Amino acid sequence: MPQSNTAVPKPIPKQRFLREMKQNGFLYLLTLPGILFFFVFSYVPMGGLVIAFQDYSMRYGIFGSRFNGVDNFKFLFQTGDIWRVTGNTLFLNILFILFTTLMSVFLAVLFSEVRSRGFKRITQSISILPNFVSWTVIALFLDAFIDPTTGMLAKWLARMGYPVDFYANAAVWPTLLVFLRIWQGAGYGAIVYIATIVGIDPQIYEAADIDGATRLQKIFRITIPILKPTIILMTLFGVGRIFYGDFGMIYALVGDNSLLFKTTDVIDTYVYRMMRMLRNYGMSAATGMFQSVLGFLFIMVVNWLARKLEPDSALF
Amino acid sequence: MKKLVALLLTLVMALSMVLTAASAETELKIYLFGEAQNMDKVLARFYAESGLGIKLNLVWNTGADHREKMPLLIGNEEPCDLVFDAYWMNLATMIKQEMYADISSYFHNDAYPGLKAAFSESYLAQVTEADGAIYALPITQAPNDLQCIFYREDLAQKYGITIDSLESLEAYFKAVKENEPDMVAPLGIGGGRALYYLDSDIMEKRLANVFEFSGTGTAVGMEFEVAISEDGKTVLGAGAIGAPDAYYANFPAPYNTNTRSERAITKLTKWAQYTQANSITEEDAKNNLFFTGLCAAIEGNISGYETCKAEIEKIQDAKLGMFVYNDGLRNRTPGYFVTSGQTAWNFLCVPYYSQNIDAAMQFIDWIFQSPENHDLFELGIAGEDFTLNDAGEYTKLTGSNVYTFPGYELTWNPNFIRTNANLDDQVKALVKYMNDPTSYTASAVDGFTFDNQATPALATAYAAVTAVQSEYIRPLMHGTYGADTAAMLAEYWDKASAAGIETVRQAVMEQVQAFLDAHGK
Repeated sequence: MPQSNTAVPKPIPKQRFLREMKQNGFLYLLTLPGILFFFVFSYVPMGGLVIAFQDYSMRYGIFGSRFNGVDNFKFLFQTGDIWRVTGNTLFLNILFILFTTLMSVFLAVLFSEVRSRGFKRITQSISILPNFVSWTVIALFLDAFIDPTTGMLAKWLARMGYPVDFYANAAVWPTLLVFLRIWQGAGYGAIVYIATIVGIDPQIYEAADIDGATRLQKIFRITIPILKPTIILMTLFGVGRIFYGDFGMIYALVGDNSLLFKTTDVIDTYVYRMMRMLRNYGMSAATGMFQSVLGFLFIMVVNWLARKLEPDSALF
Repeated sequence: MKKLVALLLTLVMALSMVLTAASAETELKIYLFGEAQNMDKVLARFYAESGLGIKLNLVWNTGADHREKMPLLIGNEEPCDLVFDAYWMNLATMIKQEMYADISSYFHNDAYPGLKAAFSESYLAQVTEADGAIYALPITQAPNDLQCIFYREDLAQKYGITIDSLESLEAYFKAVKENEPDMVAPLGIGGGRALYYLDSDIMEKRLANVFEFSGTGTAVGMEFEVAISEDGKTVLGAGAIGAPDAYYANFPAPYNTNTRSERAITKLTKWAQYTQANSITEEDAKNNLFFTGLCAAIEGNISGYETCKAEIEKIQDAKLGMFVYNDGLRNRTPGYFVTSGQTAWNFLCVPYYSQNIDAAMQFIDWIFQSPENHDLFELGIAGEDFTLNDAGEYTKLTGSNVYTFPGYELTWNPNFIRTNANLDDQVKALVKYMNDPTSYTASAVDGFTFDNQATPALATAYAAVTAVQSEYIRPLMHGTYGADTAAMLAEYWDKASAAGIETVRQAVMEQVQAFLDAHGK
């Protein structure tokens, strides 16, 4: 039986847009600086990607250089190195995200459980402090520990009968990098989770107390579940930058020590090294573009997964 | 009152404009690396004496910065009128990218008598392009610098060792390793320089018409070696470290096997036991280790002797010794120096967009107009910074106000060489040998430079091979792989082959052959 069409006709897009602007114009205005920022610093520079398809000449610039198709991308795949550095970038960043998130949540829970406000403030400040130490300085600290002749840790391990030449042993570096990343970033990362915990309604904990919940039960049954959307959101932010291998960290710590490239060479350090050695802007831009495309695809896939598993936590 | 003030201000402004116009000077912005000390007095003397109306604005980069910063700075057309460059920096790429101005018209030109006297046609041959253009001004005294080991003579005496052979050098290293616990190693080496030419037969190979060409590999040790027929007309073959012996089949004996690989496997691993741990990340072995007394020797060039001597003598009771490890060169055999492609190592260039090319060339011309002018920039003010003896040899004076300048970036020239009067006789004799044209044998490949971007396929293969070499070069050249060196060489060659090293090899042979055909030597 045919149904009568009683629905209100949908406004045409222009009307909808004007109505939306009338209702929320001020809110849109507030987003303008952010939109401008990303337009100027993220979208406009994308024009430079054209270099990746050019035999780029510094003298004649983007508009005067000859296009050479995909020639600049060929060298990436000719060595197979790109898959190694892509693998390293993914592997290291997954470790970083996983362990710093775990440690940040752990620290946030610990801080929220501490009753002495003075002790809490001091320990929290100490845990945040490493975030403000540059990787170059951290590299110097590290050297004092692992230098094969003078490093404290290297000497101690040698005396214990476990000599490790840290600068020649690529296998130990993922662990070392993760440890440093946790030391440097976990305290700072905990701030977001502490803020979430502070926002939890105390009545929930009071109710749990009345029900006879232990401290651990309150943590695992109340605090962690409430933190879950924040954890997923922060992880998504981290995943969004997963193809940016933190050049400042890895280059400061590893430098040009090619013995460690097997586990530490990431796309960023590879691009930098190729730029220095080849002075070929087209090829460097091609590598950078490859990195961006992979990063874009990755975030789309992860967001799609997040929407499937926890719709509220998806970025878009 | 207001009118009076306005009138006064107008007058002051007009006067300043007139004065500015009257003293119109050209400021040259010059980018070099390293440092000069107490240069103001020399500049003041130059301004007073030259009458050129040229002011110099020297900008000093660190060595590593200079290499990385200058292409970007020039690519961005930042003010720059003279810049140091070299094939071991960015020169080949910069010339290919047309970033430097053609300065050929200033040579053999009566309006520039200093340039005419200092830069002969043969001296400029290497930098003269097929169409006659010149994009780089060579700054060098001799086509080769004498490679040597600088060591602590006081320690050698302490252990009763006279270093006059590689065997005695090794005995010295052993003695230091066993008896000097405060030193980190007997031999300090830098990450990039590695075990440069120590215990190599590079000069003997060149004498046998086997040449290595920089720019065909990432750095020293990874370049291609090319064998040329005795008549200098035909390329016989080309090989590189890691390549199978078959590549060397047409090379003259005893170089008809891969001696580069052999050196890496046997010699470099042997010397590596005397170098510091973690040497591949060392940024400056000379300053960080040798001058601080943390190692007992470094590899260097004879041109660095004076600096080394001054620095080592700051260590209590320390004395500098020098050992030229190549027998033929140490014994000053005539004609033993053979050049391979390049006959100069350092250059000055003018960016294409500079508005002050004439002034830049006038400045260089002035330096070479007279020995006095040249001495001013190389040594400073006579009587204040240096003195000359009757033989024209100089003595640098000491004091905090003394002028120092890295002459290898501006003033070095084969026609303007002054020798240090205070060098000991052995060193002085070697310096004279190095600067004497009869010490050199001209080669068929003088002036050849490899164009690694000649075709898209070559550019791709070269980039891919460079990426592979970047992983292996330092451990190989530092002898770090030890007993695994042969296996790592095989692994390297497999990866380099997959990356297209054969394309590079063919291009090297073709370009050298084309050069030989064109130059008809």
